[in-house]
Amino acid sequence: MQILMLGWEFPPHISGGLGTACFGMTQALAQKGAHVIFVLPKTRRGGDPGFLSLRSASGTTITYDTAQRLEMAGDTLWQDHIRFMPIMSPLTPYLTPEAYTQALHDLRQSSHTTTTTQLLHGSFTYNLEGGYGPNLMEEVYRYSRLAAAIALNEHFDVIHAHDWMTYPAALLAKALTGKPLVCHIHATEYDRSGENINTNVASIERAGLLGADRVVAVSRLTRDLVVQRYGVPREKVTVVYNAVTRPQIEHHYVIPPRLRHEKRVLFLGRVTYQKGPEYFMEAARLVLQKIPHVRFYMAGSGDMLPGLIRRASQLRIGRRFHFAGFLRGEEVNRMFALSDLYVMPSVSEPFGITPLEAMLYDVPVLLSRQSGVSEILHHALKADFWDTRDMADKICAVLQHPALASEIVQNCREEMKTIRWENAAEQLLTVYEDLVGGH
Amino acid sequence: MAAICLCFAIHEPFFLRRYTIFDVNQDSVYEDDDRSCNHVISLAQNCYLPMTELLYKLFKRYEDAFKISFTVSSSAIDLFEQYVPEVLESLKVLGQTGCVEFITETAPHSLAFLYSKDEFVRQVKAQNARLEQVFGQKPTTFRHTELLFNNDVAQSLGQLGLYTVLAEGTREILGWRNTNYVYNSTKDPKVNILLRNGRLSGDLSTRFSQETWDQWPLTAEKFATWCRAIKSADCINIFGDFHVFGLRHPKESGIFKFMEALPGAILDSPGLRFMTPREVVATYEPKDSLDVPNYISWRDEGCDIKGWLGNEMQRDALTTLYNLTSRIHRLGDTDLLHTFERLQTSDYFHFMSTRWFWESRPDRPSPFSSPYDAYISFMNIVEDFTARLTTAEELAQKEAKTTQQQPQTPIEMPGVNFKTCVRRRRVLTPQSQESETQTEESPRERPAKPMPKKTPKGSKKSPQAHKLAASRSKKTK
Repeated sequence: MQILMLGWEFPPHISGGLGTACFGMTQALAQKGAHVIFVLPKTRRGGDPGFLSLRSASGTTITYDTAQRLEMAGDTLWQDHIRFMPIMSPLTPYLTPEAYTQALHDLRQSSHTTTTTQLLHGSFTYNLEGGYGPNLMEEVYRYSRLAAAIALNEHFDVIHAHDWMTYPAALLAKALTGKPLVCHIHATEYDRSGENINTNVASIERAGLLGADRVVAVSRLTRDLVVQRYGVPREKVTVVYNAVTRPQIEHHYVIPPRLRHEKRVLFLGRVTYQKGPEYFMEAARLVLQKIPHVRFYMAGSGDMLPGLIRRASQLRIGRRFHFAGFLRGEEVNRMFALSDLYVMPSVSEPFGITPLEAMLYDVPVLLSRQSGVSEILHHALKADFWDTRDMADKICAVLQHPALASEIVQNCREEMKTIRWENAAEQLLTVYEDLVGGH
Repeated sequence: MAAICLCFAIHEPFFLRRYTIFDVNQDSVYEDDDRSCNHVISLAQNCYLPMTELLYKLFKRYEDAFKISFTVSSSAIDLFEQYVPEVLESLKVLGQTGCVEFITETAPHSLAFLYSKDEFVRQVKAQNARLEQVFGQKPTTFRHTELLFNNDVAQSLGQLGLYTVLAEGTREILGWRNTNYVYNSTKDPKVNILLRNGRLSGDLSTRFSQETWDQWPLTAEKFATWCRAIKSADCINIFGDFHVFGLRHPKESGIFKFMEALPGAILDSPGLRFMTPREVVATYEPKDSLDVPNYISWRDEGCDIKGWLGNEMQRDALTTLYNLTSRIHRLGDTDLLHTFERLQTSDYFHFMSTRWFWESRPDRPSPFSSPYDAYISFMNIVEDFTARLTTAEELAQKEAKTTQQQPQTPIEMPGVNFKTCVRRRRVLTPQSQESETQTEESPRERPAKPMPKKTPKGSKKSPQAHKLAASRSKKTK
């Protein structure tokens, strides 16, 4: 089975949840004997993990012929479904109006150099930056043309695209090659932004999901959202849960001795509306009323951070509530190892891989019921994100009763044995085989 | 001549509510009255009322030939009294026919034996008194919570004057023997043991409505044939949960029709008859002595007590609760003792089991969404209860001091003592009011005490619920 996979993140290029998921998934697929060609916006040196063929879209030559074919296939696509004109715009998926104004200002200040490079005989190419820069939409447009050009030169059976950034490319590649398309949805625009959605992103999402031969959702929660919001037929959507890659070498972190038996409770994630950090703070306030010697850590950054710091001072819990900032790599693992409880109070979480990572360090977890991962973690504590009293009660219980914490950890450890990328890869392979057989 | 000994357990727990740490020291209502009420009404409609009606019919039809025995836990009696008194009335009527033996147990269907022998003895005595008061029968047979049994239980029962006990016929204790005889205990030979016939009990309790079972559908004739086929037997003991009738096997499965036909089918077979445990023991001599060093119980496949003590949380909750025993006994406050007893209901610990997380029993649902929630709520309740106990102890100490000091106070001038007058008025007014309201609202002889301290909410609710229950059951009739 040859798979053309289109993705926006892949470690070490960007290690958000999406990149981590793509890594685990492709590794397991490779172990099952599938050959994956992974097209990234831009690769860097030393990025190739060895089990797949990594392609860089940036710098791929688009010949005159290809350009003609792209023009024919692509123009109708963009015009029919997406209503999009490639203009210079600082729209990015995780921006608020204030941040947007700032970005727009920066964009106007900087002398925007054209990234198109003309080559011989009418051939040309684009240079992409990757990531979620200010001109993301333009990059998505260019990526779609470059990736489609790569698709024309490769042999494969299925196209598999991850999240909206790659859907235009996937639709273009499908139109050019006629191969079946699987659109994988890791997060919808409604998860990221609530009701204040970016309509361009949403329409790209809708076009991709409706145009795909099969949609893979990361949880039942996401499947229902996609069916409800985008009108995707339910039978077209398959749920494949994410998993977690176990680190090769087990790290043992030296945990500094606790001062006066202080317990530590952790929030780790973007400090944005989607992740529900304000509910965590409210729960912290309630917990501190009952158990004064607890420390709360909020690791991550985001648009809500300044407001929350102000709020912590208003509540007079600043002495107990610490902002650890954005952590990466080793720091994240170390933070997990230090914690007595990991809380994920997300308002809307399509999957949420971090609780699984926390569980690798034998940390009990408290999840919001509005998360995909709570569908497969039966032994985690769960609360509705808005019910901060319930959340606080559960935090207190874990900190006060060692029997509870040990029981959760022990049962979760058993449960983790069944949450493996191999299972996810197997499910994906059956999806591919169905499609290839059907065509 | 073999005796069929049918014994069914009637036990219903009060549902605890989701009790958070923010309720501790604020609110001492531990139970979810609405939920308990709704639940017990639906049980009455689907199971208790139709089945007791059927049994009454059968007792009249076969006169003394058909017999059955029940255990009725105190919490079930309280629930029935409070919400569906018709059920209790029908049980009393069944008791008056003389065809029913009431078997005793620990009052709240508890695991007290494992943690406090004193509390166990107190509960069994209380249950004996309760059964005698409600049904007018002095029980002689004992059946432990979930058939929990070992040598020590036998010994304690001998000391309590209960000489018959029901237990599970596990392979380890049986060896070459079979379940169909009376045995006695090696520890106390006076204590007779009746063992559950696992196969036939299981056919009735679990397999009856399984359409995949090769013997499905089970008819009364088929069942009688199986009983007849057992060649060497004095008694065939079929023990089960009363929920078998109409809850575990719904009405559509034909369980009521089966039960209606069963006495006829059994009595038509030569050599078979019905007996209660008391009669079995009076008729047959023990065949052998059984040595049971380890605890055995039913329900779990492994026949052990892991369903209640299997994990850290259950052990923690039980130990924390039972650590209060001696303090409660010393204080002797009836309200607190009542609450303490209720909290020992074994279901609360079964809800914390992570082993049976997946196979939740639809007829005995957990009010909590996970075993962890059950544990968290329970521990918060125990926290609040401990605080109440401490307050009561301090109060008792203060009172003890003042009574000691009283003789030392100078003799006061004869005449009006304003101090005591004021105190007496303060103490008396709420009490007299309360007793008035009680007699007005609940004309029953023994008003069932809700577990928590009396709050206006609780005392108002029960008569309403009572009326509701009455009206609902009328509709069904």
